[in-house]
Amino acid sequence: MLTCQEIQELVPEYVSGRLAPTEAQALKLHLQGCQSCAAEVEELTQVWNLLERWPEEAPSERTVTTIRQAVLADLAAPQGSTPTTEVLPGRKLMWAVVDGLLFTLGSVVVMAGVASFEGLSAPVLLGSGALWSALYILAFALYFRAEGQNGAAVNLRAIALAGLLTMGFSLLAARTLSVGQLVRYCQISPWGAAFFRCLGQEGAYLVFGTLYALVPLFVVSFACGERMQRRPIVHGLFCAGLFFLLTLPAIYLQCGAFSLGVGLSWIAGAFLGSFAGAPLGFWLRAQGQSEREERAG
Amino acid sequence: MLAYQGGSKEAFEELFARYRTRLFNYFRRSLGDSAQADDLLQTLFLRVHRARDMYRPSAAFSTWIYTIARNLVRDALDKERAERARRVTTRKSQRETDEEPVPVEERIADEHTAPETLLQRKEVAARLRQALLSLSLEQREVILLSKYGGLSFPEIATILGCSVTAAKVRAFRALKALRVTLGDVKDLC
Repeated sequence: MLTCQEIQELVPEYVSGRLAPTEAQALKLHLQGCQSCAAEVEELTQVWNLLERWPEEAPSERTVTTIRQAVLADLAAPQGSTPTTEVLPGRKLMWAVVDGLLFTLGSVVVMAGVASFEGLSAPVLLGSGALWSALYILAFALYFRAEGQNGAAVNLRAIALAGLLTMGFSLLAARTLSVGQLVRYCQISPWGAAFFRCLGQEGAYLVFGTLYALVPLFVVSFACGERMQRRPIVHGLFCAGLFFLLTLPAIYLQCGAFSLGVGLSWIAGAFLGSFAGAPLGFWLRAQGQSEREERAG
Repeated sequence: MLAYQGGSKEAFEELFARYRTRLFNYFRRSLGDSAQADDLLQTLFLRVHRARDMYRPSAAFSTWIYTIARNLVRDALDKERAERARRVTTRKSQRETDEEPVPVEERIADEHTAPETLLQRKEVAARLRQALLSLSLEQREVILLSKYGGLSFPEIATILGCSVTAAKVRAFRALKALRVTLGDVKDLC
């Protein structure tokens, strides 16, 4: 026997006549023994039927003609000339390149303030800059390409936005208190020294690297999470991957003076922090949003 | 849809004929404005055309196109809200007395008082519009998709990005809210 609570789920399909026969039978059985539910279902059926009295209208002839002409003309055009084959229109590509280069310049200026490039040769520095530019341009290209592509399973625009915003916060954090500075402060404090003895330098960089990726990425993902209500984990993984790639040159430039082990630990930390922070932020926001909607409903 | 992806004009015509009125009315009932619904219908089909290669047969076409339509409505409402906020700010600072666009809710309410609504049929339609527009966007979406879109709850859940149970509960609550807003339904029947 169904409870009054369970009836709620069945009512929308029942009033629309789409409820499976077995469930409809169970619902009717409940209604026979529950007057309040029976009265409610009757009223809601009336509301449902009443909605039919908001009649349909047809779109204007002008709109129908415009759509038909545009689509049919495009279908008639030779293959290869359709917009679907264009990866990124020229104007958007230009903006992606300009914004990517500006971000690279800003990032290099910030890095110059927190890291010493002395141990790095000119080709290595140029290569890092070029790689960073390429990654930034790619992120902006994703952002501009996904413009207006609503309905896609994955919102690349929001992912690119979250990744770039996090990168901004991350650089700001590095400028304020870089991982290297934090490690040095820790080494001179009594508890920090104990921490280092316990974890070793590699372990410390792994922990700080994780935190420096996790915290900003979690905050930004949670803030932007409203746009990723669908598939928050998938969005989180994409965003984590993008941020991790963007942050790699920054870590590399700061790692110049450290051993390979420390550098790899830092990178591993950034990887862990990225792939934990973004999915967690998006997922928590999506959960909170659903609960709020349920309560508001 | 696969034939349309392959470039068939007949397939496009068939899809267009099947969905244009349904989607036009989805926009009209979501926003309460036929002119805006026309604009969104045009944007929708051109977007579908441009993105047709991105469609995968693993998802139902109706789910795919309604997801795009739903996002267009949300974008339009966000834009309208932002525009309204901007105008309020501008008016406060400049003390402007310019006429501003009427918000969706008021647009619907105004139609209720138009002379032609003296006819009972139109009055009922206006009250229904008003009642639906008084629902939260989430509740309105589920009613529009189930009642007027004829979509199943699993399809609606996919479009709304929630569980099937959540979509059904949302629909139940929306119907209850409509019953309260509409008052005594029997008077209207």
